[in-house]
Amino acid sequence: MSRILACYSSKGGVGKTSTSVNLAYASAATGKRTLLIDLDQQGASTFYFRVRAPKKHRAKALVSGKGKIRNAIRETDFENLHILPAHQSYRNFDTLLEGIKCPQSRLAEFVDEAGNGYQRIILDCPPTLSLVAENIFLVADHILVPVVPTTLSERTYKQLKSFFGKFDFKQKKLRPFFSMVERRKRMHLQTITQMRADETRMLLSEIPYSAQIEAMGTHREPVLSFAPNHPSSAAYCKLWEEIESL
Amino acid sequence: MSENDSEHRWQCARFDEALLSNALGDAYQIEAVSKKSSKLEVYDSFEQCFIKNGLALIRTASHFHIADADDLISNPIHSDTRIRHQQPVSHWDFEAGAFQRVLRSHLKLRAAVKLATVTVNDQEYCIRNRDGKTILRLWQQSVDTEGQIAMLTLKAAPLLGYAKEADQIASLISKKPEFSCDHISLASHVLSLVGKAEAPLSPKGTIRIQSNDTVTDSVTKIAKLMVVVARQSEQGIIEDIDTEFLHDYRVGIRKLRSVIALVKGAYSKEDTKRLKDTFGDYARTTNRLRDLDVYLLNEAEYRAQLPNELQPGLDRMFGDFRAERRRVQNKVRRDIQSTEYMKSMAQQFKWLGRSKRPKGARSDMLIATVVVKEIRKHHKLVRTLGIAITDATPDTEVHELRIECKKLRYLLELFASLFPAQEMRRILRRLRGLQNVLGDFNDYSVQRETMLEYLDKSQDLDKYSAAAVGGLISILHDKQLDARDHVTEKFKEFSDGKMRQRFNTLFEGMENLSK
Repeated sequence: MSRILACYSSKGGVGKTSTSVNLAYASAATGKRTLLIDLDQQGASTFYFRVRAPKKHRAKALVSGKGKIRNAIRETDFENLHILPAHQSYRNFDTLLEGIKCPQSRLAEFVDEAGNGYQRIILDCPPTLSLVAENIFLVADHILVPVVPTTLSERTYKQLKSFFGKFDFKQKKLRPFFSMVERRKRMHLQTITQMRADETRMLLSEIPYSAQIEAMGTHREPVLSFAPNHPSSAAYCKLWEEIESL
Repeated sequence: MSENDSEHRWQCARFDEALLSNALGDAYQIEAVSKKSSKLEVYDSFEQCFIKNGLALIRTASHFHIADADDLISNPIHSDTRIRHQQPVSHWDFEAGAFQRVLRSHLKLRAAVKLATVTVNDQEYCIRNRDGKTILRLWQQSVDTEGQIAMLTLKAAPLLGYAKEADQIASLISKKPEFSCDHISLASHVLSLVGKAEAPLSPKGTIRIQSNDTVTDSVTKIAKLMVVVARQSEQGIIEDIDTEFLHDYRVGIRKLRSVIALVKGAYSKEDTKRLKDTFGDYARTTNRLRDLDVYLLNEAEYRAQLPNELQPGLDRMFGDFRAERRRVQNKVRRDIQSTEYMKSMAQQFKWLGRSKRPKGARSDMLIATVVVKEIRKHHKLVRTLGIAITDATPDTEVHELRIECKKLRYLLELFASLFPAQEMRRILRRLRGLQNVLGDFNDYSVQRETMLEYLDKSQDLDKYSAAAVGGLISILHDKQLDARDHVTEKFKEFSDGKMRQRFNTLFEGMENLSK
């Protein structure tokens, strides 16, 4: 059975992609056959692995279930790690989903088909709270939510939680963790203390704010690959271990 | 999950990185990644039974496996047994199962020894596209033995999703003449590099004789080959690698003596006698060792014939046989290594190689004429003796029939190349059937005597051992009687009208020669 993890937040720039990329790398490094699915039309995960989206790969094909999704999967430079690249047409995902029957479960079928044979599937999700997001909430076993310890991020997380309550999604799937933490900032420390007291589902691992993580754009590799001994690499490893023990 | 079916493979005449980069052009970057090196040892029996069958017995550290001779990797069968010594290995050294079965079917009683050590160097390359993305992994493998390159191969596996680009690269590589060469089988090539390309002569092989050769020429040809067979086995006997070396040595000598004795008149009487006596002496010194080998090889079979409670009683006898074998083997080794033996052997071989020597009575006759005559004579003798055998015939006459059959068989086998192969095979098959019962009859009788002698000579034999040996003697006696009962039946099978017809067909066309 494959385990599906979604890296999701409706807020942009909180570290979803860098988390997805590094967790996928950490998973593959432990010998697990891993598939990273880049659902974000910006294709940052795809870019980090130096992959280009295949020409024939279109969101329409994915939604209609007519395309051979598996043909679009690319092997990365790292053992056990494959990626299903993003495509610009993903921007129309919602519109396309609205046109079909049972739009909420279409992604589940799609992940099922693409992820056959993989032990871990990681979804790098777009920052939206639309139909695509609902699909993600249904299909994922755990939803990893990066939270920057600021008031705004905290607020976004609370909104997500109430959305889950309102539309009857399983709240226990939600697994927030602190991302881009700068411990020298008083506000960060206060938010962390506050949220840890309020939210029991908060993961213990924290990903620090780091220039090395930003440098992934120039290296076009996970930070775990080009700077395996850096504190941020250690933080991703710890986070992965914690997720694996859930 | 990579697409293995789209893997590409080349055997190269030459390889270096510059050549590869030249072949691929600017569109791709080549990056050398990991490099590793491992050592393999190629094992085989003296007669190279694995290589002959397109297989290779490989040792890596303390484990053995059998793989295709072409690349020493494909279709491997592994053994779990760890072998730490560097001695020759036999099938009984490995765990029961598929590996042992395959090993036994090839090696039989032979042991496998190390023939060559091979170093396998693997260099991995990543081929990247303009985005810096790896699209193909290349493995360059060079196999060295004793400082010489035995084989260069290049293997490419595309990454999942990059089959099309990989095909383009593969066609660029295939265009380079340096990356192609005639297909070679790695194992055979390695053996030729270490000077072991030719498998040794087999004592069972057919010797090519022309029907218009003279008697002396043909007999000398066979005799010389048999000396080579015997001599090539000497080292194996000295090192006690396996029991087949002694067996082949004795077969070589026996065939040499047979050809001289059965085709009389090739040499002068004195020379014939000298050769027969000298080689007879060589064989005689190994008689006891061969007997002990046979007893020990059949140990399990002997034990199985006794009821369970008597089986432990055989420990003492086989223990004594093993101890005696060590002594006798030492003696045989000393004999073969002695200057006297080596000198004598060299002398005989030199004599056989001489262009001039005193002529015998039939030296210049055509070999076919003489052989046909001799076969007719011995066939007639076998028939006369065989027809006379009834249930009341004394054992001595059965022995006589056995000896005659043996002579006929040697004549047919040694000169098989003069006759049509198919008829010869049929005759030999039936003859072998008869010989087997006669051989069994004789073997059981000899074994019974050996056991009786053992009972007689062993001191302080405990009652369990004595009972076990006694039990074995009585079983052997029963078996001898059983074999005796089948002699008449097997003789009839051999000497029916059809068989006489076959002998006649054999000689068709030869009669003109003999007139």
